[in-house]
Amino acid sequence: MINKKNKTSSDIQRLRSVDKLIHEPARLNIMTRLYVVESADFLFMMRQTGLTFGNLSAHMSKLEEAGYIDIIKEFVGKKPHTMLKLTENGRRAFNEYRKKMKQFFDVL
Amino acid sequence: MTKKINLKEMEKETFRDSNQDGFMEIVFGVIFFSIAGYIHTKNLPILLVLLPIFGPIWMQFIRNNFTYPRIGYARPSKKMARQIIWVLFIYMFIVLFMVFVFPLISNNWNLTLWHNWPPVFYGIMTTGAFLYLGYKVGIMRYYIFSTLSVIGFLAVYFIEFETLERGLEMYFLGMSGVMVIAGFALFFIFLRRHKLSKEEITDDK
Repeated sequence: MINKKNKTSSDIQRLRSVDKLIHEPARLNIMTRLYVVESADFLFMMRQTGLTFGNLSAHMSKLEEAGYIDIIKEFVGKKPHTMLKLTENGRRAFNEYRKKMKQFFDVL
Repeated sequence: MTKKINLKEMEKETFRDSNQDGFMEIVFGVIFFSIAGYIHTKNLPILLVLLPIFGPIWMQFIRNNFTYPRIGYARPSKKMARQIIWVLFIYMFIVLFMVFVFPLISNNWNLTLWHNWPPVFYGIMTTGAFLYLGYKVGIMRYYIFSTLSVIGFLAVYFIEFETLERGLEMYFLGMSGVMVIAGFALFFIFLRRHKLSKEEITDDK
């Protein structure tokens, strides 16, 4: 009984090691959307996530700083166009996050 | 956060969202029309030769000007695209294989008995392809196309045509008409539903 209680508490403790950058709902939404595609542009991500331009931009910058996404700037005709892509590091971090959260909810 | 995140469902949703403009249907329609033309003329129609070369360029041009400025662009995962192509290829191969195995089993190579069968085999091919696409990408209208395909090949099978090719021609023409009409209808609905935003979203905003 005590062992089981200890195990549960250590599993809950392990939740502290979860990646807080991904755990934030808006960024989790962005990471999940990018996980299922090869890449997507800014407008597509805005529509899919329901975030505003500024909000999405801010979260994108944080994810880019962490090395989780690549922001590729290009020109389509004369218009600037931004493509977003999950990096290998980002994919790994997202998979790790999923694993940890799944373990945690299994315990609950 | 309480809503369960289903990645497979999300992948389907992304694919559905990217293909709501009806272009996929128009491309299918043009392919079917080219096959009907090939059967009719017995020559490789110019459309069938030009389609693989200019089809993607044409589609890209239209989507760049009408679709992406409205809903954005997402490149689907390579894994999913590869899987769809492989499953469809293997399925087509199995059906074609059956076409040749059937007479062997029945020990009868008399082609006159095959008068009404080709539409059924081609019908099975297109029906299966639509069913798989419907299941894989979750676009409900593909189930409707597969049902229409069954109705089409059964109708062609039971109707007496003067030549073997006539039935096939009718089948592909019918399917082509359905796909092109559906494609254009979807395109107009898409244009009405997704107006171009007056304030364009660019990076330097």
